[in-house]
Amino acid sequence: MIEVDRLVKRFYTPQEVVAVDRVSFRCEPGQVFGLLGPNGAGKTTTLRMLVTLLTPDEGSVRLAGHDVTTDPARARAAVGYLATTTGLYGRLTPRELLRYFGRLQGVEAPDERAEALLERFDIGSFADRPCERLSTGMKQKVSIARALVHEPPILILDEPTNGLDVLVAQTLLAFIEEARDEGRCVLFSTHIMSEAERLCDRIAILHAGRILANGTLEELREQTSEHYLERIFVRFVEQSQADGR
Amino acid sequence: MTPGSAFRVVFSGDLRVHLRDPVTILMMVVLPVLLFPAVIFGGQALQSQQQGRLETEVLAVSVPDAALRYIDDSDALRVTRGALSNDAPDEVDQLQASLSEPIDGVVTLSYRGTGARSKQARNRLRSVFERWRDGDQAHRFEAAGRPVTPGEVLAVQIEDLATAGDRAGQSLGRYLPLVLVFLVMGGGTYTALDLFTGERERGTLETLLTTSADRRGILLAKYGLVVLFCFATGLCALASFAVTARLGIADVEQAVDLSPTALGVMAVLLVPLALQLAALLVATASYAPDFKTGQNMALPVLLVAAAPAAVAAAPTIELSYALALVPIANVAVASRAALGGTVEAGPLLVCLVATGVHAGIALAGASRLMGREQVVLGSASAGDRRARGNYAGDALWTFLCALLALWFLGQTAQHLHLARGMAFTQLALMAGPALLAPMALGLPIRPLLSLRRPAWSDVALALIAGVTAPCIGQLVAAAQDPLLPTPTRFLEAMEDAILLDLPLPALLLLFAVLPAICEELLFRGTIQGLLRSRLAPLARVLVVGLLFGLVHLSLTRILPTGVLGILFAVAVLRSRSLGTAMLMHGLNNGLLIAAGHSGALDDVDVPLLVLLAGGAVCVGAVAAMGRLPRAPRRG
Repeated sequence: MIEVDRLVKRFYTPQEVVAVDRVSFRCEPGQVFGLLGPNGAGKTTTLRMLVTLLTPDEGSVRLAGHDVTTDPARARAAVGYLATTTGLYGRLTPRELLRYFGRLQGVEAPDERAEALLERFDIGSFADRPCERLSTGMKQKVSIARALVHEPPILILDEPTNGLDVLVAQTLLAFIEEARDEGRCVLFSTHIMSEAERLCDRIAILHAGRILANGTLEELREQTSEHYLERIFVRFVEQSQADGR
Repeated sequence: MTPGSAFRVVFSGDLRVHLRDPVTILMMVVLPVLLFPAVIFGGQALQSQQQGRLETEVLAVSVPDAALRYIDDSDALRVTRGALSNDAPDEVDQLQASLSEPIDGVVTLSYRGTGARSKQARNRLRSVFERWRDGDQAHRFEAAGRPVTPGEVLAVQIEDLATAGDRAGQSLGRYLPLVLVFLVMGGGTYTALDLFTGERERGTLETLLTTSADRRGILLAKYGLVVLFCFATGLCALASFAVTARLGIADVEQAVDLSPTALGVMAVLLVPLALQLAALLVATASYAPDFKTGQNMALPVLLVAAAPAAVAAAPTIELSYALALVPIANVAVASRAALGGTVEAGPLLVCLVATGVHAGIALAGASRLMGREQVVLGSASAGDRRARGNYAGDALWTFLCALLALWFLGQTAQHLHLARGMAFTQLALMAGPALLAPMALGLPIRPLLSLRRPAWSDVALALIAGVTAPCIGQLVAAAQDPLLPTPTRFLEAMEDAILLDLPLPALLLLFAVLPAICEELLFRGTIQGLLRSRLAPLARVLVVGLLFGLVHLSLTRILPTGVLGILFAVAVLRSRSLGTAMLMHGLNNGLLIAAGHSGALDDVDVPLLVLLAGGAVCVGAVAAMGRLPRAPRRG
């Protein structure tokens, strides 16, 4: 469903910096794939290339069979993207916002779809209040509904719990589990180990633009003889530094 | 901490912070210092160019048969039938002034005081009348054999057909376009900033661009919205102006009779104005890293955009075909003409077509913006841009510093003593910034300025290109001559420079060797080197050429020197050495100086075919230099 093959992104300083270096992974339907790494590891750059906000310098990405470079519109149509910020229009109400994005995504009956999402995420009580006057939890619900407005088979979430309090974060994590149960392919980035441990079917450890390890939690435990993901992560980073990579 | 200490600490701390902000320096120093030279220099250049054209232009007039024989070729008048009058608007467009048949010995000279050409025609007809009167007087004297009494001599009565409304309209039209530009841009500024910078900060742009909607459509919608807000602001201002002017009807002397045509023309002109200004706003908003910086940038951009509209304040500047091609200035002068009732269909059409083309280019540029990561993710702060190898802003600053220094110090020094002033200009004001800028930025000078020995084959090609380069300058000057003739004053100044009381080697050193070294260090060296991090080769050589043209501080020299600047830039790009450009530049200037000094080409018209052949050889030699340039470094 998500096929990433030797993806490279370079930024140019007086010396060239490879922000993403030959990153490859696959994520299947009904699976949660976690991109785990510290700040600056290249997680956001990778996800931005997946959703066509950045152009890869090398490599390829296919989303639901569509290449992001040659067929970006179709690739985007298969994805619901949730960035670090909620990305809501403050002066629109949740109802207006869902209808607007429904039309943008080419949904056939955007008004009906908006009403269904309002009901599903229990937004009805504040559906006609401008988004700028909603609480963080309410905004997060609207944002999730917005990402699902066109029923995408793929969900890509960039550090979705960043800045959220525990209760709101729980709502979001529950939503990710629900999406997996619905058969969606979910890719999310995080630097919070407990989230990855709880949710991910597969984990890729990203450090300095390179994938150091990729597997299920059990596989990673076997490879490092460590139990906790935090320790597993440190072992891979240390090993990579020792190898001089 | 005492209030005094707190004041000192906070004041000095804030001062340090703000002096490090380029926008503050731009607003506080560069704009105020550059704005007036730009407006006055540009205005004077235009005025002198238009005045020169007006003096030689053949103007349509109407005179009685008896006066026909007193018109000679030097009057540059074309006589047609009819009489200038406000009741014959079609003829008013053709006729600039008319002399009536004598009635009781009095001839009426009619003209329109709101038109510069009509005023010119009035002056010429007055001379014709004086010859007619003297001739008639002599004829009567001869016939009567006695002195003619004053009552028998023809008299002239001058009549200005421009109505009070026309005059008031023209007077208002001198500042109305400037006000309109400010208002129209003000109306679109917040929208543009909110749609791009604001949305980027709030994350909505990222969300929007990850939908399956076509990105060009998204951009065009946003751009269209800014255009609509700009246009609506202009329309509201125009409506308010029209109603206020109409209310002035109670006071007949001050009332402005805004005809539906004038209002219609102005409303139509608002469309291209809105398209142009909206494109500028969208580009600014896309480039600004955050909303606050965008707001800070808006005022300088507004001032720069409004500067061309200031030419409308000069009453003698009319909407010529050349001016109709200049963005913003064309709309400003056309608006004034519409208000004064002197708008002409030809230049107005060219103005509309030209602004349409400008808008098209702006749209194409804007649609490319959406494909750029910078628009989506925001350009980094100045420090970060440098860290990412983007020195384009520094290239522009270097150019602005050199331009300022040239304008104030260089011109003064050359005025005091041409030879020493020229040497000072080249060494201190051209080579100086060229070397100081990379040092201040901590960049290695030799690779940045392409200071390496060129291949021998490229030296040979540069020799050929340099010898034939004067043909390029001549060709471009000849091509622009119908639209932008070289002013006599400039040619005289050039002759003065060439005929300086100096031996030829000294002249060559001052006007060929020094410019070849110093100007090349600055333009093809530092500026082109700094732009390398940001612009693709084609854009880079065009920008370098444009800046090189602008630094010559003469409207008529921008294009010829700009084209030569592009060729020199291409030579450096292909040969990877500044030496080739220096050689070409030195040969070009040296040959012109030597020819002028020896008088070899005085009164000699070089055949067009020779110029074309020379130009082709020059371009061919430059094209043959080096290998293909490497792909640009992006940053």
